[in-house]
Amino acid sequence: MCGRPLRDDSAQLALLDAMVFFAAALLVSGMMFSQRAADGRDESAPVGLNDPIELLGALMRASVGRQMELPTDPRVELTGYEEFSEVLAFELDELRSGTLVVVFTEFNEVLCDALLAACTPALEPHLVAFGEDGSLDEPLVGIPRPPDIASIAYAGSMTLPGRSGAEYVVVLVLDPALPPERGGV
Amino acid sequence: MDDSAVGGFFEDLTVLMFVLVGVVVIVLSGVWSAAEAEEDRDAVELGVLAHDLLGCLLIEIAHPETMGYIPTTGHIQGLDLVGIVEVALHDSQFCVSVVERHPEQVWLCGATVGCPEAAANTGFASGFVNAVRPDGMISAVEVMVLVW
Repeated sequence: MCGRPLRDDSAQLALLDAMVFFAAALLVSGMMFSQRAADGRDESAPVGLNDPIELLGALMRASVGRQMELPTDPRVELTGYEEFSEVLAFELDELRSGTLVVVFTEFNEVLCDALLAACTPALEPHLVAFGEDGSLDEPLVGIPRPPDIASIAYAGSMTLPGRSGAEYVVVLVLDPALPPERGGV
Repeated sequence: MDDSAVGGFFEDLTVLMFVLVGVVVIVLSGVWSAAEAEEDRDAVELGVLAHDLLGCLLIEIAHPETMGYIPTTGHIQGLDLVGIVEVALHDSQFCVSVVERHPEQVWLCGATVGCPEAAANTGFASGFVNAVRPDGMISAVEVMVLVW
């Protein structure tokens, strides 16, 4: 191997260059993979899932669909033909005047069932209502409960006129559903 | 010269291996990225198409130009869904389903053109309208469109 000593430096240099090229190739392909992964994490509303404004509008205009008696003072009988928006406005008026939310449990359950039936299983619906002049930290009602502020959510709102002349902001929040073992529906 | 040629060949082989593997890594990741991008573009196009078709259906069902108009469930069941959708659709295939979500879960009508088993990519869109039931109650109705 009489040629080896003459070629050693240049050979090592060539090998080093090749290794640098290989490392650069790995870096470039790694950047391509991470770019694709970032493109895949689309943070806009999932395509094809419910539009919260449209869903809220359709539900508020729908009939309650069940006869019930609200133990308010005086008692109110619902025939089932009333729109959700009418009864919810009445409930919000009553809650503002000091009536306990437990009085409207049956109605809230029907509204919750309607929300769950209309909403895709991939999303967990929360309906919250605020007095227009009240604090946004303290909803008058949350059906089935106020949403977790920290989670990614899609929301739509509408203004609901109350019978007392007050106006309420009703917000439908659609949370990505939690698996049942983590407390999801 | 012979010895140095043999030694040089084996030294160059290592270099060649690094270079070739580097090139293969770049080419493969490039091909994979291009294929994924193509698939994403198809999915986005199908999603837009599904939204357009949903828009056509909702206009036919709910006549948004007429304030306060609420269709009946009978009107929805009598619609020619295939005729409405095929006007806006060229060579894609689709499935339309209309379901009452409240007060009851009732399948109202639907139509399918094509074979969904062969679909590689799909686009989906859904929207809500109100409809008057035969008993006079106002229902919330979901219109779903799947395109492939």
